Amino acid sequence: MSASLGELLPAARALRMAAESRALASSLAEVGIPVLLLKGPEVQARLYGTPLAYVSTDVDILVPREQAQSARKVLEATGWVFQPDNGILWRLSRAAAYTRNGVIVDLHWGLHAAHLPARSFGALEDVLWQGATPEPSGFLVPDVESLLVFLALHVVGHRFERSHWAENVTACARLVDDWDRVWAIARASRLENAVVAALQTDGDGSSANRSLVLDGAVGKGITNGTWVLRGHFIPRRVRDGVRVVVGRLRGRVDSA
Amino acid sequence: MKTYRVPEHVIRASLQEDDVLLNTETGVYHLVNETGRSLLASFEEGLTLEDAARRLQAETGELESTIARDARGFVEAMMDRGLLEEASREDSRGPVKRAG
Repeated sequence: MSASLGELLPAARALRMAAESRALASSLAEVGIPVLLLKGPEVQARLYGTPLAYVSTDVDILVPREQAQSARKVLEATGWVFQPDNGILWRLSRAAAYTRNGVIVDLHWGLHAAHLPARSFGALEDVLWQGATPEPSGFLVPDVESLLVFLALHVVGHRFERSHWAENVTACARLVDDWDRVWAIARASRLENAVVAALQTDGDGSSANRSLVLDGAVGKGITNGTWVLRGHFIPRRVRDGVRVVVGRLRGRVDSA
Repeated sequence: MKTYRVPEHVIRASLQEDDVLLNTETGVYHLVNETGRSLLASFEEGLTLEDAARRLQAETGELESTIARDARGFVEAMMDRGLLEEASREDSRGPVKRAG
C-alpha cells in the first residue's frame, strides 16, 4: 500500500458522502421524487475527473418545489436529522441542511444565493430541471450550460468566499460546447453580470468584478431590498449568534 | 471469453497510485494498487481477462504465467468482495463510473 493516511481519509470521506447521498436519492426515487445533483464530490468528479479536487463539506441536492414537504418527511424517516443551525429563514431560502452518519446534505427545493430569496431564481431552476439527465448513481445531473450559470450564481451570491467555488466555474466552462446557450440561460435568469464576474476570477479565485447578483434595475432593487429585509446589514457574528440561539430554542420543534 | 465491470453499487476514487473503492452494500472500503488499477482500466475498455493480462505483461515484463495467475487471483478476490461482476463486452464499455 503506497497511499498515505492524508490521501486515504479525504478519499474515504468523499466516497462516504457519495454513498450516503446516493442512498438518499434512492429513497426519494422510491416515492417518486426526482433528485438533481448541484454540488458535492460527484460534481467534482464531473468537473475535475476526481471527487477529491477539494474537500466538500456537504452535498447539495435539488427536489421539485411541490414535493419539498414529502422530501423532508422521507429524509426524517430515513434517519437524516434536521440541522439546528439552519437559521430562521430556511423556508424562505427553500433549503435546509440534514445530517446522517457524519454526512451533511443541503436539501434545496429552490435556488438561493446569500440573502436573495429562492423565488428570484425560478427561471434558472426550471432550466436546470429541463436539461437534466439521469445517471446510474440515481441522480439527475444538469447539462453543463445550466450548471455553469448555477455555479456562477453560487460564487457571486456568496461574494467569492471560497476560491474553489470560482474554480468550479472555470472547470465547468472548460466543458461547455454551447456558449450561446449559456448566455441565453444567463439572460433569461437575469444573471449575465454574475456569469461575467464568475468567469473573470484572478488566480486566487477572487474577482475584481463584484457584480450585483441580479441584472438590471429590478435586480438591483431585489438585491438591495432583500439585503436590508434579511438583516444582512447586521454584523455576521451577530447573525450567527442569533442562529445558534434559534437553533437551541427550536429544540424539539418539528422541522417539517 | 469473459470480461468484467465494477458494479453500480461500488464507487471509487483514484489516488496518486491506488484506487479506493467503497462497496455501498457492505459499507467496506477497499484499496486497489497500481497493478489492479491497470486491470480495471482494461476491463473498462471491454478487454477480456486474457487480453488484460497480456497488456499487463507487456507493461511490466513479468512472466506471462505469473501475470495470468495473479490476474485471475485479483478477479476472484474482487468478485468475492462484490467489487467486480461479469459483463458482456457491450456492457463493460463506456465512461468510468467514479464517485463516482
